[in-house]
Amino acid sequence: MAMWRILKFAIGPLVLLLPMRCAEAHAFPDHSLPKVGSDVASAPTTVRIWFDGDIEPVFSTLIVKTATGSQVSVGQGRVSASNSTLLETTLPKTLPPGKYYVYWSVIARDGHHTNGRFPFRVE
Amino acid sequence: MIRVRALGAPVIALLLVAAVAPAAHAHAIAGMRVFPATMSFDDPGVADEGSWVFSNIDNGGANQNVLNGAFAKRLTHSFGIVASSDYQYLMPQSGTQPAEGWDNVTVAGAYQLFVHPDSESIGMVQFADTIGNSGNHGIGTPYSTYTPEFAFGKGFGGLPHRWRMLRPMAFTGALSVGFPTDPTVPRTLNWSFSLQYSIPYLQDFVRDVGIKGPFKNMVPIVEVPMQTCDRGCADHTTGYINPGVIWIGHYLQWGVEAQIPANSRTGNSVGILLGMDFYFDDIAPHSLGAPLFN
Repeated sequence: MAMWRILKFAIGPLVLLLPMRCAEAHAFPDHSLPKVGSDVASAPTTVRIWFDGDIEPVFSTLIVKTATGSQVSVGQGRVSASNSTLLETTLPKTLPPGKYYVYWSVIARDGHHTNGRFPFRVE
Repeated sequence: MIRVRALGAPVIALLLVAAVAPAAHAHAIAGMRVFPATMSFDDPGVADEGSWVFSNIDNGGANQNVLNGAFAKRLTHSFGIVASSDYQYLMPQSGTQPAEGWDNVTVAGAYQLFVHPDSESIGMVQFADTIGNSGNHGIGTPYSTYTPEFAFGKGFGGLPHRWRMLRPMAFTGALSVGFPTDPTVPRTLNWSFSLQYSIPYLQDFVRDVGIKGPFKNMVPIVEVPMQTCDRGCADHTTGYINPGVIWIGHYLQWGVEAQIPANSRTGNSVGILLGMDFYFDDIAPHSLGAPLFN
């Protein structure tokens, strides 16, 4: 009986939350191409990151830099017109072998900002 | 120790429960690092959240069931208030009548002292008042306890390349001192820490090793909530080692941990912790989850 009262105490607030309109939360990467930390045999011509929620096109950026900090990607990146969870950028066709870092910064639909970076290597 | 014994087993049990029942929870973000809300002590974030932690353990000759509820609300981006309490059900193994009811209510003010995104470090100070006589008779104590606290977190994302697979690790801790208003009751130094390994951090920022959901949202963790009583109890230390896992979602997290007594003075039985934490700033970012004053 006491356990049931404890459970009701725990479940009650959950019921109150049900009618609440949920918005998008912080956006984090779901997966990317090239993969995070991967070694790729041939130079990619695009870098793509799929997020776990919709992101705002105006404030979201994706930049690829060399290990010394020189930008190699074109522009600030863009959110796909057909998929609002996909952030992508274009790379030169002849990216030399070496280590590169992908810097991303996104604003989720609810206004929460997240950012990060990850490496990949062209062999 | 003499004075602690004089309090009797129920109060000793309550003190032990207090050691594992935090006053507040909050998740915290510093740069790329998400610190999940630890279940047995405060984490270093000031946020808009609600949490439930259920604990079951045999201790002090009684089976203890404790449900801790906490509600945290930001007034500004850096300052928030917290209210929490426990509902307790204590079943003595001797066959005597069980004790149940509300523990005293704790209210607190918390301030986000610093957040350094590049170093993945974060710190918070908090002052809590566990209000005497605000709980049920026989459960809540007749005296208040004032508890200043410092909580911090540090991610290992800055480790050199050869140690990169350890970058998902993070360390959090909380230091506080409980000052009871009853001079016969010992002060307590609460020193707790956790070591955690974030699978989301590994997948998103270090190396995609192909871990899929639901495991890619998990943070294996060991929490160590410890308590040393001072003044009249010969510096006795009790606490637990809590290995477990926390799952981080968009709107909430849940976790399960074992409670292993850190020494024989704490107890001999292994208990369990179950926790859920709701991120109001993600559930309702423009109303309940937003600071009252910008």
